Amino acid sequence: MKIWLIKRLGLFLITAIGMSILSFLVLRLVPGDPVQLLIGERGAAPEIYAKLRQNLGLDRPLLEQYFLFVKNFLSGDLGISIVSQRPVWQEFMDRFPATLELSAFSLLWSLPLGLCLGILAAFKNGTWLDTSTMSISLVGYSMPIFWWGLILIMIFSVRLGWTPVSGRIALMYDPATVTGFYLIDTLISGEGFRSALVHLILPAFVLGTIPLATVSRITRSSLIEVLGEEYIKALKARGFSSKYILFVHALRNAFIPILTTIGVLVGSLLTGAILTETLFSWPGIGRWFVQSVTSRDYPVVQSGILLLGLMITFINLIVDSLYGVVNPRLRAR
Amino acid sequence: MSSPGANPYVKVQDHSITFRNQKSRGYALRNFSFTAAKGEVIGIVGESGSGKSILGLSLLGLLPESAIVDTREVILGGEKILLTSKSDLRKVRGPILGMIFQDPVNSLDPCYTIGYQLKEVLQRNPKVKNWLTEARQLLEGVGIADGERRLGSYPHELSGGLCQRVQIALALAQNPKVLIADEPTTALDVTIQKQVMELLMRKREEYDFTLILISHDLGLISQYCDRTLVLYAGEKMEEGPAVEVLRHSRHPYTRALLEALPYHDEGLLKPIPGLVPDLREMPKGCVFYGRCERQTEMCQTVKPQLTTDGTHGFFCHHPHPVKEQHGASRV
Amino acid sequence: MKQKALFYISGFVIAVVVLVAIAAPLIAPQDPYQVFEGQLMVAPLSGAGVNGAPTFILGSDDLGRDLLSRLIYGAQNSLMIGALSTLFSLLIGGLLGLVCGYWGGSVDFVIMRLMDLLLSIPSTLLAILVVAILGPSLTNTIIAVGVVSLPFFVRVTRAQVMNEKVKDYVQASRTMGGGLVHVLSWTLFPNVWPPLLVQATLSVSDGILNAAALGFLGLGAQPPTPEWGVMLSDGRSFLESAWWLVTLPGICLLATVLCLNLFGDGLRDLLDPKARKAR
Repeated sequence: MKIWLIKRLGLFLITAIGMSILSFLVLRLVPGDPVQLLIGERGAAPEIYAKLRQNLGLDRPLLEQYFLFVKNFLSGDLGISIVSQRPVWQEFMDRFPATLELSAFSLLWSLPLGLCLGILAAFKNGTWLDTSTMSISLVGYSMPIFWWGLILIMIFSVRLGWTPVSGRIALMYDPATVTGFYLIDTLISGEGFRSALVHLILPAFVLGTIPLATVSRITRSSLIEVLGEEYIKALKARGFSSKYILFVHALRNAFIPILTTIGVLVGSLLTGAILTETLFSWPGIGRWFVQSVTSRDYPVVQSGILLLGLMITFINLIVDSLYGVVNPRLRAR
Repeated sequence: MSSPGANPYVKVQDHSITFRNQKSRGYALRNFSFTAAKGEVIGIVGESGSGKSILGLSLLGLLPESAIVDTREVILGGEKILLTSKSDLRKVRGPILGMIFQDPVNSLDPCYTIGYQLKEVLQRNPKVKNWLTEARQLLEGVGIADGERRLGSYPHELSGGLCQRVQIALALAQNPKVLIADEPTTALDVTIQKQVMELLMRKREEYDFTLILISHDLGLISQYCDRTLVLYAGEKMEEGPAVEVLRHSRHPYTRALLEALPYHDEGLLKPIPGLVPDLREMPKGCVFYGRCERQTEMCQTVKPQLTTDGTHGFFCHHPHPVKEQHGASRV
Repeated sequence: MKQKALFYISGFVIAVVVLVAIAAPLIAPQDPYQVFEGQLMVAPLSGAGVNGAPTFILGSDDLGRDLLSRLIYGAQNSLMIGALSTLFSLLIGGLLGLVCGYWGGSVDFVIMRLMDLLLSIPSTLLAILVVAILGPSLTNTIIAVGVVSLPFFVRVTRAQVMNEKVKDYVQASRTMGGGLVHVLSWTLFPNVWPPLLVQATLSVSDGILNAAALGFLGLGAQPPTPEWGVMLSDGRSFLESAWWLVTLPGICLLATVLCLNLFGDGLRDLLDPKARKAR
C-alpha cells in the first residue's frame, strides 16, 4: 500500500513537471515574436518593446526563464494579465467559484441520475427500459453540447421566456461575496436567490448532459460484466437476494471504471466547461481562458494552463488512490 | 412443500432442460431421474457438454432465462420443491442445497475479506449466535490452520486450494442437506486435489449431507462415490454402484470413456470417435448412435429402455456381456 | 439483430454524407459564398425568391447566402477535418505506439508519460491550447484535433503490438531472419489493424465534434468558410428570427457524429468481440 502510494505520488510529480514544461513552452512555441504579437501591427517605441520583453522575462536564457517561472508559480506569483493588468491569480480566484458552482450543480443532478439509469438498465438488461436508456445515452454522448444549449435557449429563453439567456444573475443584484456561490450568497444577503437559481438551471442542465450519458453507459456496461462473474452466481447459490447482491457486491466490483469516468468528468468540468460557459456568458474560468487565447493574453494562458493541468492531475491522483479503497485487489499491484 | 417422511431424501424425476434462442431450441438434459439417500455420495460423470453442470444450477433456479426447466418432481432433503416457486427456491439456496463451484478463486468476491463473506452467510443462519466464533470454527474445520489471520485476507491473497476450502466453509455455514460439488478439484494442483476431496468426505460424515459429485474424472468418481450416473448428451446412459458401473460397465459409452483414460491398462489409449451430437436435433433412437462400436440399425430408430441387472441399470440395446472383467485395476 | 440494423443504417448514412461531401460542387444549388442582396434570412421552402434570386430550399442566412449549399460544403469541410486529423494522429500515433510497444524501455516510458499528459487535459482545452500556439485556422484545427486523439492511437497500437510481438508467429518470423521492416509490415500490421480501424472511426467522429467546437468558439475555421461550427456561431444572434440557422447545422452535426459512433461500435463488435465494452 505504501509503495503503491509512493509510486502514485512519483507519477504525479512527473506529470506536474511535464505540465510546467508544457505551459512554459506555450509562449515560446508561438511562431514569431510574442512581444510583437502583443503590440500588434501598429508597432511601439523601442523602450516599450524592451520593457514588455523584460516583463515577460524573455530577455534571459531559456533555462533561467523556466526556473524563474516555476519559482514564481510556487510562490503564488502567476504573472500579470496583459488585458486587465491584474494578477492572474486574482483573476482566477474571481472566476473559479462561478465554475465551481456551475459544475457542482450540473454534477448534482447528472451523476446520481446517470448512476441510477445505468444500474436500472443493467438490472433490466435487454428490456425496453434498457434499450431506451441506452439510446438516449448514445444520443447524449454524440451531442454537440453547444448546439444542444442553443436549442434549449431558443425554446426556454427565447420562445417561452422562462429562463434568462445568459449571465449568472440579474444586473440589479450584486450579492456580497461570502462563499462565491451565488446560490448561497444570495440566501445570506436575502435577495436575488430566485434570479441566481433561474440563471443557473439551463447551463447546469446543458453541462450535465454529457456526464449523464457517459456515466449511465459506463455504469451499465461494467455492471453487466460483473453480474456475469462466477462469484455472483456463487452468491446467488448461497441464497442472497438479487438486490442485496447488486448493491453490496456487484456495484462495488463495478465501481472502478465508473470512478475513473467520474474523475475524468470532474476534472474536465472543474477546468471550466469551456463551451457551456461561452454559450451562456457564464463568468467562469473556461470562458476566461478562451477569451485570453483569443486576445493573446499570454501570461494568463501560460499560468492558466499550468493551474488547470495541476488541478486535473491532482483529481486523478485522488481517484487513483480511491481505487485501492474500493478494490483491494488493486492494492497489491 | 409437503411433510417429509414418506419421501426419499433426494429425488429428481423426469428432469428436462431446454435452451431456446431466437432461432433454435436445444435440449441440455432429457428426462433425467435419480434418487439418493441421506449421506450418500452420488457421482455424475460425463464429457463436457453432457449437461452435468447444468443440473446443479437448474436445481437452484440459477439458469439464464433462455433455459426452460421441465420436471415432474424434485425432492431435496426430504422436502418437495417446486422449481417454479420463488419462495421454494429461496428456501433451497443455501440451507437445503449448497453448491461448490469449479473455479475457487473466482467464486469469491474479490472486494471483500474472507471474514466478511463468512459473516454474511452466517448471519443468515438463525441458529448462529456469534458469527465470529462460528467462522473461526468453520475455517479450522476445513483445515485452515491460522483461521484468525485468514479472516482478514482477501481472496487474491489465498491460493486456489485455500479458496476452495473457504468455499466449502461457506457452503457448510448454512448446514445444507444436499451439497453439489461441480468439478471441485479440476482447477487445483494434483497434490491439492486429494486433500480437498478427503476434506469433503470428512465433512460429509460430520454433517451427514448428501453429496452430489459432478466430474469428468472417472478415477475420482470411483474412488469416492457410492453410486454413479453416466451422462451423455443430456441423457442417462448407465447407473449403479460406482464400482459396479466402472468394473462391469455394460454400456458401450461407459466402456469408451474408460478406454479413453490415459491410465487405462489394456493397450493404447483409445479416443471416442466423433463428437457429441448437435443438441438441437432430438434423435429418435439412442443418443450415442453414430459414435458407438456396437450400434445396429435399430439403435437409430428405437430408444433403448432401462435394463436392470441387479443393482445396475443401463440404456442400451446391445450391452457388453456381463462377466467380462474390464480393465479398471487402477480406476 | 437490432445491433446489426443500426450498424447498416449508420453505415448507409455515413456513405450518403461522404458522397454529398465529395459531390458538393455538383449538387450544391448555389455557390456557398455567393451573397444574394435583399434575400436575408429567407425562411426554408418559402417560395421562389424575388429579383431573379433562386429558391432557397433550406432558407438563406443573415448575409443572404443559400443555407443548403453551405451545409453541403460544411459536410465537405467537417469530413475533411475529421479524416485528415485522424490520418495525422493515426500516422504519428501509430508510429509512436509501434516504437513504444516494440522496443519498450525508457523510450516507452517517456512517450507514454507525454501521452498521459496530453490525455489528462480535457479535449477542448487541449485543442484550444494547440490553437493558441499555432493560431486559429482550418489547417491548425486539423492539427489541434489530431493532437487530441493522438494518445488514443499510441495506446491502442502499443497495447496491440505488445500483445502480438510475443506470439509465436512474430517470433518465428524474427528467428527466420525477417528484417525489422518485414516483421512489422508483414506479420505485425495485419494483426494490429482491426482495433486501429475502430479507433479511427471513433476518432473521425470526435474530430468532427471538436473541430465544430473550435469553429463555434471562433478558434477554428474562420468565417466565411462554410463549416458547421462556424455556422452555428453565426446563427446564435438570430435565435429569435431565424430558427433554421441554428437548428439545421446542428442536426447535420449530430446525425454525422451519432452515425460515426454507432458505426464504430458496430465495427468493434464485428472485429474485436473481446473489447465489447462501452466507452
